Amino acid sequence: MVKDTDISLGDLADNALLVLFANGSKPAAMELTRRLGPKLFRHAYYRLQNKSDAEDIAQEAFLRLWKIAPEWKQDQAQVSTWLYRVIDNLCIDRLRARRPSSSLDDLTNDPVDPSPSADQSMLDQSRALALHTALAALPERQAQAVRLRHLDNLTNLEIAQIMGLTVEAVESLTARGKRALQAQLHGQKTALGYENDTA
Amino acid sequence: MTQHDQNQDAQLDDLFAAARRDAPEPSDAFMQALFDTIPEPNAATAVTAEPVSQGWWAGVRQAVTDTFATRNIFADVSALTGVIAAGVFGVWIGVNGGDIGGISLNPFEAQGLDIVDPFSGLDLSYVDGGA
Repeated sequence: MVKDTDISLGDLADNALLVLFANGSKPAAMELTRRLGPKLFRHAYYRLQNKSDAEDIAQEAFLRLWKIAPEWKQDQAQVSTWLYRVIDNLCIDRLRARRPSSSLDDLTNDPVDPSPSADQSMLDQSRALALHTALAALPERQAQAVRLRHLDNLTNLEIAQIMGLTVEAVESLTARGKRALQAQLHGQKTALGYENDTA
Repeated sequence: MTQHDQNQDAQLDDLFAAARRDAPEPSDAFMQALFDTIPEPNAATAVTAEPVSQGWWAGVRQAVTDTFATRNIFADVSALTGVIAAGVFGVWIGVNGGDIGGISLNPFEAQGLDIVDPFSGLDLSYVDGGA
């Protein structure tokens, strides 16, 4: 059964939910977690390519959010923007501390899927690995902009706020990043299931 | 944009889609762990969010709105009108020398009496010692 309070919380903006939490509403914090948790987990996963690490990072980001909530100012920033920044910084720290081959270990440890869609799943895996490897070779800011735009599906304006850039600078970064990715992946077309210049 | 470029873009979009499909869904256990990070709200730390800053005129407008919103606006306007009317009337009397439509406001003059000070030498008698 859906309560009236659930409906009203669902209609509120992220910042309003955080202010409500700071004023004693735990349901507001739960709504915020439900709304942003999965997105932030995936964002960390795209960067780290490790489920366990992505979960740790997302939890740490939310812990920091609850800690800062009493001092939060409504005109300071978007909650989601702030969290994406925290996740990015935590991911950079985690990558520095990690041994280089762990993302490959992750992929090989996944169980084999016996379902009919297993072929598609394996193709997705190999394409995702190629893409993440190519992204890792890009300059950090280019890769970040491309991930936020094409994997997290954020708007250029949201990305500009997260990265502290203008929208035009974000457009330029993503365009250059995509060209660099195409150049890197050009030689792997056949291995990735593309032939004769068709998708 | 050439056909070759369009194919390149389409292939790249396909790789992005594959990477999104390949990302795991957050598990129920993970979501519960996220909920567990929420501390029990502490009323002692409760704060009111600072409002988004407004311009100077917005502040004046808000002050006026607040003032009238907390009072009986009709009583205020009525009292203010009375004060203004009394002020204007006073100025008008001064300009006309106390003559309103041929009627003098001086009660002695209105009765045709000449005003003579009956004690005109009294102040001098005090100075002279009452002689």
